[in-house]
Amino acid sequence: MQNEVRPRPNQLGIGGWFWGGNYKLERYLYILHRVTGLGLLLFVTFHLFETTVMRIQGQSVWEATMKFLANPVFEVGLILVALAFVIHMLNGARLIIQELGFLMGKPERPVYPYSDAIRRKRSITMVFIAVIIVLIIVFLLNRVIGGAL
Amino acid sequence: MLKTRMHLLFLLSAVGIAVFLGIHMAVQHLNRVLATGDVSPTSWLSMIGRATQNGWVVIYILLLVFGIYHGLYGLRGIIIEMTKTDKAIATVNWIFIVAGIILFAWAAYVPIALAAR
Repeated sequence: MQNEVRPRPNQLGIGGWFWGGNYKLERYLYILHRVTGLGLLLFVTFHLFETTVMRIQGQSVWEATMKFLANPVFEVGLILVALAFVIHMLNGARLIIQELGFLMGKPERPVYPYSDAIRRKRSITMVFIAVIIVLIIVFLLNRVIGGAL
Repeated sequence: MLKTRMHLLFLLSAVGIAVFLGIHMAVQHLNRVLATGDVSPTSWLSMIGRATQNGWVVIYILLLVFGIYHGLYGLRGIIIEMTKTDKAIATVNWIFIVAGIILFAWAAYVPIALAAR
């Protein structure tokens, strides 16, 4: 009896975020982009609540809210938000540039062993990662100097 | 064609967020490194000072438009990936459209009301 051949599902769901093939660096950046995006969306929800519902009630409620938020848990949360913002923004810029075909080089004939433009031009990705690291250092420096993030 | 336009708007809103959130971050969150002069940007006086300046109100409303569209469209994309039927996709679309309009109306009302005080 012939074994039944089941096609591989092309909708991998959340599992597909963590394993979608042999994409290496770009795949991890994709996961990071999604996770930071969802984190930022969660933060924006809280931030909108704070800057609308709390702010419209006047000075005393606003100051009480700021006092409540001035504790180490929220401080760490804000640092994570700042890092997520830097990562999401610069990786997003890389994705837009590459999606629109800039800095990808001229198209080449597919000759074995095949390679794709994203990996041939990985130096661009590395430049973006370097800028992300520099900006993260600037944010942390701001923190060390004493300003609130 | 509609999907292409919506995706292009998604990319454009990302650029808008980078510009306006960049201004917000520089003034309020990198005030020490960049020496913007505002040592307490979250104080009531500082916040209400910005809220009564038309330039800041415009920046925040544009940031709101770009942020709501980009955030909800991105989340919609993730949910749609896991959605299989056309009916479910249409339901998700309508939920996000209604949620976006309500969120924008409320969040835009507050800075305008504060500016009018």
